[in-house]
Amino acid sequence: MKIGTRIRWVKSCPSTNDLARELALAGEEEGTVVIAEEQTKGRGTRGRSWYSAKKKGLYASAILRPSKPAISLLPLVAGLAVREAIFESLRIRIRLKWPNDLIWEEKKLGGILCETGFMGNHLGYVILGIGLNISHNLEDFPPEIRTQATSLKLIKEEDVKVKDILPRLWPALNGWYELFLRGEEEKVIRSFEENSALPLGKKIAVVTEKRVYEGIFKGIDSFGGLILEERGREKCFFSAQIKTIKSK
Amino acid sequence: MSVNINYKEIIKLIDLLEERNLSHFELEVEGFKIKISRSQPQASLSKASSVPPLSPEHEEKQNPLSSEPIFQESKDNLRYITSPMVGTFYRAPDPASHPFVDIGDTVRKDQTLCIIEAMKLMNEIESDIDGVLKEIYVENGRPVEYGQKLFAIQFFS
Repeated sequence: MKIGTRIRWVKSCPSTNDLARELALAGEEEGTVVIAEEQTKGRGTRGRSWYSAKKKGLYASAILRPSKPAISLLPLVAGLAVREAIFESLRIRIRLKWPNDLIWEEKKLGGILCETGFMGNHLGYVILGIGLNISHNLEDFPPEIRTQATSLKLIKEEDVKVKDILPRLWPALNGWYELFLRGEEEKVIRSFEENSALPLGKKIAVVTEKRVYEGIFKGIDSFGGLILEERGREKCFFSAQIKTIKSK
Repeated sequence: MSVNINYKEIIKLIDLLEERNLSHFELEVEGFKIKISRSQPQASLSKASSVPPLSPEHEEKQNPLSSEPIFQESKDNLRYITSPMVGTFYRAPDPASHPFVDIGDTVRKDQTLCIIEAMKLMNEIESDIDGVLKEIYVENGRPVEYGQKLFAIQFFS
């Protein structure tokens, strides 16, 4: 079933990813999407909260059951689809920050939260969560994130609603997902690089549990890892925070 | 013929492995054979390589997020749970929470044991058996490799 064919709308829920996960565990088929008007415990990665004001944003989670086990590119696939849907709907060119942030002029517009469940020997499900700030005014954001967050309404300087994006979102998601399933990873990677908030060749800092690596952003590897050139040698990262280094 | 083992040279070789991010090195000359292996850190893959960080010597293209079998059994009713991907091992859902499981805990089928994070993709690893958690091999927040042992569960027979 194509993504978005069946949509379950809820007024409020703690987290659409959690609700979609419950449905997936109960056997819901691939393609079903959960959309909430509000999330009371919206999550980012590693327990960070995702501010989810009522009727201001898109809080959606799709259930996927990919036929191939190589799923590491899915956060990039989802980011590309959201970018395309926003461009097709509003002619706004957002950027993607590796691996899962949706960015407009260094401000965060949204993010992708992909979660999977491995049961026994196999990948049971993938939940592809999308959080996108749509009709927020600046004062709708908590004061502490106002300087770092933005919404489509603030960018466009006119009213934007969730329904302005959705008709373009499902075809874009299905298109990129099918491309990924067909094995056209190279296209996903090159498109991600083209739309990256960090331009290739930029000096960046990669912060891992172990240490901070400084070097040149060289691109995305075939599994979606970030390639950094540090003192002439390339390293690839799968878990890291990226910081840009301002040129002096 | 006899070979004088020069430990300084061996240390140099070990450094070379670290420097070049190699996981395995073998040298055989005139009856002398040396084999050095090391586990690799997560930062180890070059763009030119189509081989993921774990097994550079592996000919087959492996994926860091493969869903190869992650449960292995031993003779003494122990089931080893290994990582299905390269990533970071987390014992709790977030830094403020208690670990999902501890040594000595009874674990149930479908109970979450850990999260492996790679590319902000959060992968919950669940047990597929009932048993007692006997061992946790990795510290919270540490990088793990594909196939690396994470837990041993003694299953109820």
